[in-house]
Amino acid sequence: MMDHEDKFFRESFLKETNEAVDHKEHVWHNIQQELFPKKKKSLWTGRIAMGFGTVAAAIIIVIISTSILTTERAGEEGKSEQHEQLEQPEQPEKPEQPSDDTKIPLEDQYEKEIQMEREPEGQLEIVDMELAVHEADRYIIYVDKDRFEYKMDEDESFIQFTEAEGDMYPEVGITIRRYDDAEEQDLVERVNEEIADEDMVIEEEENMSDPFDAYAITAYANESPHEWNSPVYRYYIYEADEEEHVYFVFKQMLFMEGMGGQSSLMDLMLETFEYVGE
Amino acid sequence: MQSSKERNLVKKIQKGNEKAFKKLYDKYASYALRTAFAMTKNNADASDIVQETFIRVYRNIDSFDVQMPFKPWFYRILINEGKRVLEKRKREAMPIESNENLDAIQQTTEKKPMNGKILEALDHVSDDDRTLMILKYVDRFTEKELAETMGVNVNTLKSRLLRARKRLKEVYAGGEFHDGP
Repeated sequence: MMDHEDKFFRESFLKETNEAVDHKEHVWHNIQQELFPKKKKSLWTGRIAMGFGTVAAAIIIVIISTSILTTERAGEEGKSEQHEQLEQPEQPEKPEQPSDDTKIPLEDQYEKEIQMEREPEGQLEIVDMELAVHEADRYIIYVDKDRFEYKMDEDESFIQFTEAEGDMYPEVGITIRRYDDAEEQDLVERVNEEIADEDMVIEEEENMSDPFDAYAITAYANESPHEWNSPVYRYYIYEADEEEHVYFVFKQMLFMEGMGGQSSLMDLMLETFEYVGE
Repeated sequence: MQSSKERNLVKKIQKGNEKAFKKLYDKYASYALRTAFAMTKNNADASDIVQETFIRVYRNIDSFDVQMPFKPWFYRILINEGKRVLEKRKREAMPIESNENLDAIQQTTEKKPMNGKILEALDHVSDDDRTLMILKYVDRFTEKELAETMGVNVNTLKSRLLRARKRLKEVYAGGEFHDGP
């Protein structure tokens, strides 16, 4: 237990070190510059592609490309020089994710299986997770391979709970939808309409940071919301790319009795979600 | 004990995940900055120490055993980096050939008035005791965490804590605090 002196010392230390915390964002910016410098487009992509054309076309392309590449290279070199003058970043020791230019499929860029840990009711559980990839929507996610299955559709993907449940249980799983050029407020309205259409009512809305920073909306059934099998929807509206306004909307479908365990498993999977970018 | 959430986070960083590293940064950076500032009393040095610490953490995270607690490992890097910067500042402040200057600086420091500042009082305790006090009061380390970070057993740590706290109390002049009820 903290006595009077300890309390005094602690408060004095915190008070006298407050100003240091103001530098948190600035320090992160420097770290980011050092460890994760922005990737540059490869100049070689065009050259590789050219090798597959006809000779005549290749000659023309070579002439055009050379002039373009020369211009690009000049631009890159200019940026590079400017960059070096300002920051002189070292090369990161960790390998960068291969850029889209290299055409390496996403599934070859990530481990096929990983293990995650969780502690339901204080007991440590190792969860075997399997990689799921959506090339078109440019994301990856790891799915609990013993209890869930990833299904891809044209408009949305679905991570379905596969443990035997029977018809008496509502559907359990997560839908994932991508939205381009979107605004958060529009998506919130869209979700609100969907909730109303499905005869559900909003129970809670909040900004949350786990499993990632997102706007969360929880909805219960309009009628008999607290029965053991009453459906519960939890939406996460997640901004994946601020500049390009790329959003993902995750809809967790649960039911009252299974909320605790299933929800934490779903959050564990969503923790692994990664938008790779175009 | 390290939570499963933190272990998962570290595992992700070991795979090069920037977002996970940012989460770790958000969790540790504020107290790391306070700690570094308490060591150096200089904002630029504190920022440099924390920046270098996180860069070292990222570059060496592969060698970290996720079954071990992360916090003591992190703070060992932070404290070592802090000591390195302090040594550098000392070397810059005086020519190497004049060892007498070290004594002069030491004496000047010891006579400095404290102005009611706990960080000034820290100048009058030994390096190890200073680190202990900072980790205990700024970062709220438990005795077990302190022992792990300092690489001593808990009993040794307890006696060091008592000594450090007594010394800090002695040098903190003016009677700003009183014995509890």
